[in-house]
Amino acid sequence: MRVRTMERTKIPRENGIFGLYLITRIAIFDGKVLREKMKSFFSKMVIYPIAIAIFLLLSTQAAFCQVSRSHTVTVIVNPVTVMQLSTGTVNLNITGADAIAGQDEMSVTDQSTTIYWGTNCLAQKITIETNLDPQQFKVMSLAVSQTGGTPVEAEISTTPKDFLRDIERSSGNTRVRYTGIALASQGIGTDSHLITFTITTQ
Amino acid sequence: MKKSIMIIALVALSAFAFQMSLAQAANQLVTLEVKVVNKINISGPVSLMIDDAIPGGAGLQPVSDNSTSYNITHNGSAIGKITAAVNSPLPAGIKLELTLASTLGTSTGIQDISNATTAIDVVGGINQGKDATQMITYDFSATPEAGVFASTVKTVTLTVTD
Repeated sequence: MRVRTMERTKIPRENGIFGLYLITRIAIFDGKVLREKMKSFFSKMVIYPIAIAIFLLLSTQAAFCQVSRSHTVTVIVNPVTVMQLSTGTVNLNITGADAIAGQDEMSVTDQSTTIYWGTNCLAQKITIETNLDPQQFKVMSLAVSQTGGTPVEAEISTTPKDFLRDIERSSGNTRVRYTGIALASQGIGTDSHLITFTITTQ
Repeated sequence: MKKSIMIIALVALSAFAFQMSLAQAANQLVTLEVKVVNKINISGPVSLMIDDAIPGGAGLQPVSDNSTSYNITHNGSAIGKITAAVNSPLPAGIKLELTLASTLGTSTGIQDISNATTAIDVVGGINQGKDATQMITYDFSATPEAGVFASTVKTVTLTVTD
């Protein structure tokens, strides 16, 4: 089998020949050369796609099997307990409107205060205390209409007294019922209390 | 080094937060004011009727009633008093007298209230406190010269003051 191939050859100027000529050279190769050429050609034609395919495959594999990295995330929920009062001032006035003639004890009540609490702790309680010592008149406290806990009626003193016990993890509220109690025999006067409510572990 | 500082800071912050969470407090100003209280009530009513004479021509038989009582609660001054007044005077020869018992103060004894349209003291020196179920005594008398006195309703007002 013979094949004609055409080649374009540059003829250098220094060879004394004009400019640049294109010479067509017809070369005839024998079958062996052709086979080697074909072999080389087909080898390239096969190897390159295979190489490309392998490369792509590896690339794809690399994309699907990326190296993982991890780190730790630490979350903490600390014990949180908050409390708020709806009002900062309460006035209890014993004027005689509710007094009963012939009785020494006179009283007045107020339920205008609401305590709001929120806690994620177990077994909390609210205590109540006053800064006033001595007191001329008696003030009682009681939690009413509470959404949780167990009310404890207490006479307010400078020693913290339980006001609401057994508060579980919750957000809730309760009304504070103050009862001011005076005896007629004590005469008139004014007691100013700075009442402190404290929510704490019981 | 930085890691250690961070850990220490976190521990300190957590401890602080924990402390904060242990006790939350809220304050409120509560004022208890006891003003002057003077309260009195009276049981009643009372009916007094003269329909007899003293034997021997000594006039009409007076009548008395102590079926009623009063209660007071008083926290003002230690010199409180109870006064009594009648809404309109009685005619001449008709006498209405009033006596109030008292343990908290001092009774002024029998007081003629027949014409007491202006209040008169019946108990004085009332201390702070209460007096319950104290007897009220009415004495009703008339002279024969006053004649027949038709049934008349009188309003007796007792007032406790400082």
